[in-house]
Amino acid sequence: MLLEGHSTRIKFQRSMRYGLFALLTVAIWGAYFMWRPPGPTLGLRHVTHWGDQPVVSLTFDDGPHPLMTPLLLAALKRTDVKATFFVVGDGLRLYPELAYRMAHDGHQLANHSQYHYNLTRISPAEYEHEIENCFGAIRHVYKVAGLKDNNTKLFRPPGGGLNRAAMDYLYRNDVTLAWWSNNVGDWARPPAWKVWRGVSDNLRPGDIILLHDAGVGTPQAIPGIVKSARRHGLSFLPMPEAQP
Amino acid sequence: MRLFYLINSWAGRNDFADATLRLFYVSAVPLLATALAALLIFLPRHPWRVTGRFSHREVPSGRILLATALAIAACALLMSAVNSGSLRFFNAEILSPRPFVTHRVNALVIEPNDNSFPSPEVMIAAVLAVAIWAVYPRAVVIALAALLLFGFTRIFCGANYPVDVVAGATTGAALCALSLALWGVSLSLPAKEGRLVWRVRHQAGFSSATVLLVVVASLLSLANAPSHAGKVRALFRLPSASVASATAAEPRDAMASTTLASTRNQENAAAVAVRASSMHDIAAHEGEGEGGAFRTRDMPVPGVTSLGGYLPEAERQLLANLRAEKLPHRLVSVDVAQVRAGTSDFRCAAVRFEVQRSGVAERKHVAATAVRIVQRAFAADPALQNIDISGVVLNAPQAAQVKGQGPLSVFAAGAIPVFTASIARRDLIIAKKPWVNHPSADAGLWLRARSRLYINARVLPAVMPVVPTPTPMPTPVPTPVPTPIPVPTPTPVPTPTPIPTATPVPTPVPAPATPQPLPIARPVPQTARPRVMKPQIMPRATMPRRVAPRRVAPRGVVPQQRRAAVTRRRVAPAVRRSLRPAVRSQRSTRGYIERRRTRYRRSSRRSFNRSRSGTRRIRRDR
Repeated sequence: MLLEGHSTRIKFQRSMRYGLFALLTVAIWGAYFMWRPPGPTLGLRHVTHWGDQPVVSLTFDDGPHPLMTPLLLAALKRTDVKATFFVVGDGLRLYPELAYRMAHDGHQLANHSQYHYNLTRISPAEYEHEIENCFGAIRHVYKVAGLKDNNTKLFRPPGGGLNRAAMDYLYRNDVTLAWWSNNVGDWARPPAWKVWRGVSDNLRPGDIILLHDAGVGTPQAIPGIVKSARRHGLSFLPMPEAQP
Repeated sequence: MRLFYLINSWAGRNDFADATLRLFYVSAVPLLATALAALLIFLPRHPWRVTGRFSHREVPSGRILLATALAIAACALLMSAVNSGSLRFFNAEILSPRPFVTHRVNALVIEPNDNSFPSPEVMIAAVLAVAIWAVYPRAVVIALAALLLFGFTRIFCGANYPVDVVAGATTGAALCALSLALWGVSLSLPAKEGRLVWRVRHQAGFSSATVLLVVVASLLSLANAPSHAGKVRALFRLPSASVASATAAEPRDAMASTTLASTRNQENAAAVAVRASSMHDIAAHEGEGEGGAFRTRDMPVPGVTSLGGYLPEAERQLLANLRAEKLPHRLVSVDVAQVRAGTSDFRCAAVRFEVQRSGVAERKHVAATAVRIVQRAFAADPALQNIDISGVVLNAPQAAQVKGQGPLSVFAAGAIPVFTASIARRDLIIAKKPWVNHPSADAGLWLRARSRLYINARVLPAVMPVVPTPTPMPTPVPTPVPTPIPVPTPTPVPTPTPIPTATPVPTPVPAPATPQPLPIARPVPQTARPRVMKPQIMPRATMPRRVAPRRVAPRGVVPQQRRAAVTRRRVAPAVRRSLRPAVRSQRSTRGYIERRRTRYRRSSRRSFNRSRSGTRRIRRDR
């Protein structure tokens, strides 16, 4: 590699150097952007919170559930709150009456994938099946209920699983990533007082609260959460379609 | 975390700054790589082994290229080791989640939900920066500035924590220095003759030590992961603001928590401190992220404490007493309630008063008022066990943030607590430090010594702080304490409380210097004594032998003598050479190299080694 001595010195022509440099530059930038594509990082539309507005959103993942969703709907109706349900497309197919009730009560339906597989564990070839089918199922629910379609593009990855392939898919298909800013971890079915304390102790204006159709604790905690939030002057709205 | 928010809170305010930093965020690594390629191609006259165009150094471009590739490969290996190791040993797919996963940040970019520690991009940027340094030492400032800016951008855009950036940069730089050392390239600072910073050998040792250090530090930095943060924090008993601020925000609810703490205090103290602090930490961390799920075994047992009900007549009585006190601050609310903890009932009070101004003097007044309220309340109501007292700012126009950790220290507009103390009756008299019972003690000191929770512009740990200086303030309190502290006087022995309570309460009898039988020292058996004494005597006998007469006078004592000793002939030749000014003509590099070679050949191997023994040997021309 390293040849010492004067006999092997080769004079590079200037043009040769420039050519080599151009080649290397193209190779470097190409390789780096193959490795870390800038498009999804910069251009992926995402909703994280409501900014500084005195508004919070309740979002419920993993619905519809035959036992829990009616309790949730009753609690939401009683507290007069419109929430966002990130529904599993297969669940909509299994429980059409619950889907109808959710849409009819004025709640927002949004995408939580068709079969609730973690996107980091399935092949990127199945993303289209997982995501587009659920959008189709939601549209179908609105159509059957005779309501105006909300044309949502909100998608929340199951389990929060997100890798570069998934980001790339979302970016190319113009899907909005629906993230959260307040998370109690209620998928482990804690009792109501833990959900209530966990949410309202960490609550800040503009939060998007992540809850689940998981246990009886969550519907029991909703009145407390809503009460303590309203006492601080916060109002409840469904999730925004774009970051405000 | 605080540093992260300090930087990240500036994101999203200025569109131009956002766009610029985002652009740099994306393109910093290829920019550095392109710069390195340009230097490698254009700098030497002849690309393989040559003297540089601008500096009279050799630029072993091939070796540097190989070393850089090796370092980048090592980085990739390290990252994959971190990813698979977190899955294998910690059983967590994401050991250190990104900030935007667990916290509310200003995310200018979206990164995948993977490990945040350490950041591979920063690692590679550090490798490239060190490689640039090796190629062209004058560019070191620019390369390091780019690296710093890149690290700043990672935090600014909300993709990494400061710890990740620092660890990544250190590891990358150390790996690159190590692999450069393997190929025999040394790093130098840009001076006239390019003085050497590290000899190759020290460079290798130093950088491998750094890599080890960073790996160990990264194990310690698991604190970033919420699922482990509770353990780490409980280990070091870091302060947390959670219960304190929750208490201040909501007095009625507060009593539940404070009473919980007070009941715990009645158990043995050490266990309580640990358990209470861990409980607070978990309360602060619950609901943080995917990793921060509830862990039932860590939570306090439900149903230990419950609010038994408010006592309106006791409230009225307490309010009348406090009104008679003629306090300088307006009372906002007075609540008295019966709290059931375990099998026994406690009567607790929560008093809020309004604070209208700020400043040091006002802080002292607030503390004095709090002391008066506490003493009056405890004197008036013998059944009262605990007072939770807070000063609030009413009608605040906007949300405020109390200095502290965690999201809990943010309060919505309305009543913003600026001062909180929670004092149990049993803490009125402190036996361990009797000087805090002195009536002329400062009000703040009085409160701080007794309260478990204390906010006054700063959140202190829930464990009682140790006050370092045991000197009471010389100035007397502006408002003299009217009621003497209910000291040993025949304490109202657990009076039957109006509410039917099974009060086997470990009542507040503030044991008035109960003459506890002092434990008399046991007489040590006679046979044991000499054994104990022996080791003390032994070293003294041997000491004088060890201190041998020195040849050279110690450094600080007689400098003139020492210098003379050095210049004398007895000094080792290597030292003499190091003192001699090195003459080196930089005009002809070849000549320089030739001379160096011949000198090395001439000198014996031993003296050669000794002469290179310093970590950083800078030869100066005089």
